Amino acid sequence: MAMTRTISRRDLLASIKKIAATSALGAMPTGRLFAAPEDYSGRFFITVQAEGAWDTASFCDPKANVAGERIINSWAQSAEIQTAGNLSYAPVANNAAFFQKHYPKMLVINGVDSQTNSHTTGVLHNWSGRNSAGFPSLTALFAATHAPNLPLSYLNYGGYAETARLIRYTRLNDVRALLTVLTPNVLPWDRASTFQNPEMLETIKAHQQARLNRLRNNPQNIPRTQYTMDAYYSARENAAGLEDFAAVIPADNDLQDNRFLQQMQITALAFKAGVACSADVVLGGFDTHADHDAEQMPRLAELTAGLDYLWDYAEEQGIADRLTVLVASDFARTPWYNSSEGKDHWSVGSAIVMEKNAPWGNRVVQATDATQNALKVSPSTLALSDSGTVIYPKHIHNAMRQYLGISGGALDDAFPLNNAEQFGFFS
Amino acid sequence: MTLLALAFSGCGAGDSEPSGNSGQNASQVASDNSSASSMQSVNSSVALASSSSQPLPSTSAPVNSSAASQSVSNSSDANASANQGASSSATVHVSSQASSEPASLSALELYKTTVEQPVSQSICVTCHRVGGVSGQTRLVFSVGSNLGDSNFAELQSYVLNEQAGGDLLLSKVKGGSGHQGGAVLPGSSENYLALAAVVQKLQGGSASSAQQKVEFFENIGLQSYSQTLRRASLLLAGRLPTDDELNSVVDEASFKAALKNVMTGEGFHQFLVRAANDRLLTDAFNQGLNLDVLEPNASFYPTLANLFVEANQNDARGDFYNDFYAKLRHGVAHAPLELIAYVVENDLPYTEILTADYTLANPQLAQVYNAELSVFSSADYREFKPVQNRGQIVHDSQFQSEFIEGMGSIIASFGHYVPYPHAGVLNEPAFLNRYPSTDTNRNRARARWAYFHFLGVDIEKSAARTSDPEALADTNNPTMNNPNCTVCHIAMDPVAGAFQNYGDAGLYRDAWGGRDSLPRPYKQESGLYVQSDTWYRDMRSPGFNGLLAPSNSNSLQWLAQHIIDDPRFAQAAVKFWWPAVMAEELLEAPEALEDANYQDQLAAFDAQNSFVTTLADDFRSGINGSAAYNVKDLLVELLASPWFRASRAEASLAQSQVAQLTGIGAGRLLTPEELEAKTTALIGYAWGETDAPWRLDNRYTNLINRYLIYYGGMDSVGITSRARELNTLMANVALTQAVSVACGAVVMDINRAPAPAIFTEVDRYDTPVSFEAELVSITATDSATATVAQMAVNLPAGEQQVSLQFANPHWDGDLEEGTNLIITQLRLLDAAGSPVLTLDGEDFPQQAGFVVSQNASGNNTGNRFYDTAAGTHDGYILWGGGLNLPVNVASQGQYTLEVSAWRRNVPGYPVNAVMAINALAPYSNTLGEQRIRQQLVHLHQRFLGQVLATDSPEIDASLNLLVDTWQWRQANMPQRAYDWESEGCDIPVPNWWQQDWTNELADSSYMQGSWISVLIYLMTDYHYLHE
Repeated sequence: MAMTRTISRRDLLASIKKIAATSALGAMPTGRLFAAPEDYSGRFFITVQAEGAWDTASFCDPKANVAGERIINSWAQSAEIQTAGNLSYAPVANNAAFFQKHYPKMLVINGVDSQTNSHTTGVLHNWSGRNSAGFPSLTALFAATHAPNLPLSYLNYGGYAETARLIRYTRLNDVRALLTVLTPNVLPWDRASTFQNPEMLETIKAHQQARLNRLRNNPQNIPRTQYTMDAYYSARENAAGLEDFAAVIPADNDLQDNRFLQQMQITALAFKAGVACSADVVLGGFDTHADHDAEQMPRLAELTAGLDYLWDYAEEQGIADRLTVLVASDFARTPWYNSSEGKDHWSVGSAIVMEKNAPWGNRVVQATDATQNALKVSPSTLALSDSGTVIYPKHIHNAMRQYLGISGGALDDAFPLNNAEQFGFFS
Repeated sequence: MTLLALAFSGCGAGDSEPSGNSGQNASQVASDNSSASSMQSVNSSVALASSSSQPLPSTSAPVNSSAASQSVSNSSDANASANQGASSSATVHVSSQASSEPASLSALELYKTTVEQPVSQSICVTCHRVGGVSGQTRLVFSVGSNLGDSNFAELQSYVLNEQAGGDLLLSKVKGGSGHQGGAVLPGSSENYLALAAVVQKLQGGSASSAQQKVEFFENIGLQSYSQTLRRASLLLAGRLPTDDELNSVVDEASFKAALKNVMTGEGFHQFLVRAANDRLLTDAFNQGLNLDVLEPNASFYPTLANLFVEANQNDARGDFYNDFYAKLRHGVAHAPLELIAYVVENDLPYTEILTADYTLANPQLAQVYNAELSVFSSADYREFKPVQNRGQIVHDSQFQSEFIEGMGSIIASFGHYVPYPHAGVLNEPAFLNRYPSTDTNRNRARARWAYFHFLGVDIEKSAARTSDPEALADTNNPTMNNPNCTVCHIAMDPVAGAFQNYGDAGLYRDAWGGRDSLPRPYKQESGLYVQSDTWYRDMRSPGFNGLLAPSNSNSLQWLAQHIIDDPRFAQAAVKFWWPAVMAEELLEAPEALEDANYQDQLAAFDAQNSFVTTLADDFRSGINGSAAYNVKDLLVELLASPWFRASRAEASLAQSQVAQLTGIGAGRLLTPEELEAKTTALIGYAWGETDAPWRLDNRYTNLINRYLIYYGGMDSVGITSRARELNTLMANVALTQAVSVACGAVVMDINRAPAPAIFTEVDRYDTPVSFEAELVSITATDSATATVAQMAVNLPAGEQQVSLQFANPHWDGDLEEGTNLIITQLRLLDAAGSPVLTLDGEDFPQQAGFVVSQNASGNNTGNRFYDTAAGTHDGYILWGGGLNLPVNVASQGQYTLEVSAWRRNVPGYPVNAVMAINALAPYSNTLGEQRIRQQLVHLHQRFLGQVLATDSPEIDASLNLLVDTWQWRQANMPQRAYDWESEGCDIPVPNWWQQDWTNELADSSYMQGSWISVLIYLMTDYHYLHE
């Protein structure tokens, strides 16, 4: 009802511009402020973290039993190691279906020495590249390097998620609740209406962001205040694309109920919507100190089912060609059973890298002996070599950084992997 | 307050003893900050200056030098003081400068006189000796007297032959470079300085670490007492401080007393439980983790087993699980948390969390424990009382039971109930079950977490392991014999042994026979087991710190006693509570010397570790003369410290200082629980709060029950750490909360009887242009008896606007008619009562500048009123909206606006009008604007903790937003708090939309809608989400 002067939409936009112009946008003291999000057309990167230490001897580094030694695998008493392309696998769980279908995408590196039997240190070592605290996850580095301004650039579902304050991670759990927060102004009970008129809310946001910018430019800010203000500022700056994400969330009936598959699904959708570029997907339950065969095999089956689903769903969403996946664990399990039919911790394990149409697919770097001890490998030829080196997580990370375009940048320099030979895993 | 350099034995095998010297002779390094207005040297304490009206408070910051400076911020905004007109400023120096020793002394002489006994013999040899945990490292001392020469040679060799040996040594003693013994010498301690001086001499004065000076809190200002009290109240009690509490603070003592006084009530209880769970994670059992230790199908708790069988017999299995067992599970999961809360709230010594010979149980758990139920006031599962567990049995020769699938365990007979040997948290079933064991783990996880939570030692950090295949393949009991393994196990395994009486899930002596908890394979196949053994013979014996537990029946109680006697227990307590207060984990010592920011990390760690160590000393002996081990006192010291109160840089900070101060002071993101408590404290309810019969607590809120993980919370199972900074999705959650509750909060408060709690400085008719505005009730029903309403108003000279609004137009569907307001006359009287303007209603449209509102169809909402009976126009009728009339005021002064009006239609339904005189445009400094500014000041203070002046830039900015939204709503929206055609409002009243809210939602002045926008602005503000 018009009583005083009326405000047109044009006036409103002018008002917003005025607010922005007076808020000293250019005088940012510290922190990362990113330009408005652009369409991300680069690669997507997922780590799949098998929490608790998987049994590689029953998976991608299959071990037959050795005469005169303790039994490594009970399945090996009656079954043979199988192959898919150049890869070997254990004939248990759903390995056959997985390896036969996906071996062209797979680089298997057997003989990665985590140098620990502590879960905490193993997780740290495998996902940050060193066994000292302080380094970001590879996923955080990837997101911070390639697309830090995406709304949810780095997704994490509970695994190793150190960011070293390079970037913030986002945790998603209840997909059915996601829609509301992706579109905060929309009424939950009537999605055709909003709490605030959208134009009005834009005015509020503009005022709010201008105020936050004023706060950020206070030279008296202490480091913590500055950092959290900058984080909030960039979080809001990057929110624009979230409605694109909301647009691809499927109906409830089409959402996966399995927690692991749900992680895969929502990650693929976030990639498709252009709101994220990296994710840590986790599956627990691999720490099978007792009743190993009964406990470990279902987990391996769930792991491969999840990976299979990921690739199929990524294909369906049209993003499979841009996807790189690293699968690993804390370390591995002993090449023998303990008195409880379990397997304890063993520091020598494996890593798997997956990518569609990769020239390095269908490749295995075999750096363990028959009883799963680490062997030295030539970094250049990847062949066993006494003058070579044992493969450590830092080598995986060094190569992945190179391959993923992280190496050579400022972030790579800030978190150097000292003395890490460059392995030609991808050459 | 004394400065003690405590031995910190990460290896766990040696004694941890105070160093030979306290800090009483520590060198005192004065501040080099020449700008400090006053300088004091306070031995072993820190002086924090505040205004001259406040005495110098002391904290327990463990520095050997101090300086006090006074600084008053010139900021009128974010950091302005809220009381005492002052904001504290700290200039705290933590110096690691090497002490100046006589140049004539050689390195050897210096070593022998200042290092050999107090450092090498008292601390280092605990591990760095032949046969010690570090006996195979590159630094091994000889133990005994008169060994200074040989030990010096060992030290010299290390310093000169290792790469960067001096730096490495000095780094390790402060806990850096992966020192498995942790921090043994705070960088400010005399012993450290002595060692640094020796290193410096050995290196010809080149020891860079020794020369580095760290000025940790230099030029860092602290929050005022009132600001700190506000934060503490919100965080620890979930409420704002009262005026009385704020007014009670006049000095450091009253400040600390006020801090302690907020530590009461349900809010504080929830803080304690939440903080404890953040460490122990036992709430996991309420979040889906299996509770194996009290499983209904099992037969160790007969009462539980019988209840389950009974439920199955009555076909009530679902009810059993959804009600009784869910409550029981809550009782088990929260028992250790409630025990800790009980100890703290009752001012019991914190040591009791490990020595309590009781547990805390809710009625359901107490029933299963066969405890006395009369101590409970109700069956409420949230009520916890101290009881003893007398509900478990063992499977001995008297035990007979039959398990029937689908029915449970039918127990025919059993022996006695176990007199459960309570050892506080250590044998709480939830603690034991949260860290379950296996046949090969053998309680090591429990030992690991006992070390972590109650001794502050992370054993796993020392678990880096060799890649030597031979060592890896070592099958000769490597945990006993292989140095690669013993580094951890020598400390861990005896403690694991102390848990010997508890099985994999945490049941007491659950092996068949009831005499031990040893697994059957070990007993039957190892060839090691001997009748009556309770522990493995191929492991170290139960014990702690080189001592053996004297009895296998109470080894955990014995362990508890030795843990609380260990100096590290008090340090662990500080570490336990630190994250809950600071919203950051304590810094870990950096490990990689080659990291670019290694020195900054080490300096920050050292400063923090020194603070922790000294505070722990005080905690152990009694803080400020109070009782020993009082957690409330500990929390007060944390809250009063610069670690919590640091809030502003009073000068440009050096880059190294910026790096060191990361994560310290103000600016902590509120957790979902804290944010919800804050919102509830401010607006009276939580986002989406509703009854929830499907939940045990019958309460559902959006932030806790739906968006907890999205907003950085944890579930204690898969997600066990909290997000500490906002990401985009979290920002959206905050925005969702704000837009969801703002309308309801404004409408509820503005209409609150007898008076609003939030909007205390304005009424709903004050606008940015109003000189005065009032609501009047029009009761007359004809022109002859028209209601005459008057409103006094002070006006400036010049053209103004008279505004008359129909406040509550109402359409009655049954009568098919709407209420009408007919204005017959308007007069403006001067101070003497003489009319300066008289206008009859029917003449309004003829006045230049007259404006009447229009409805959505573009039609006027009023017109001249035609009196059919009289056959003439008599007044101006409004059936909605309102009108404006210009008026020229000749001179500034007091006036009276008088309106004569009557009503018709819908008898009995009230007709109200808002009369106002307005300026032509905003920013005219009207009384309405002044009141709005006052209200904005009030809102900034309440919601953001900012104390601002009415003319401050931030109040200007907030007013700008309000004016923008107010004008926009006038241009585009109906006169309602929200436009129900296109907007939504979630009012926290059940079925409110089925009731008549016309009057409450009426917004003739467009101010409810505008305040809603302002509330969204405030509830998404940085300072709303951070404290």
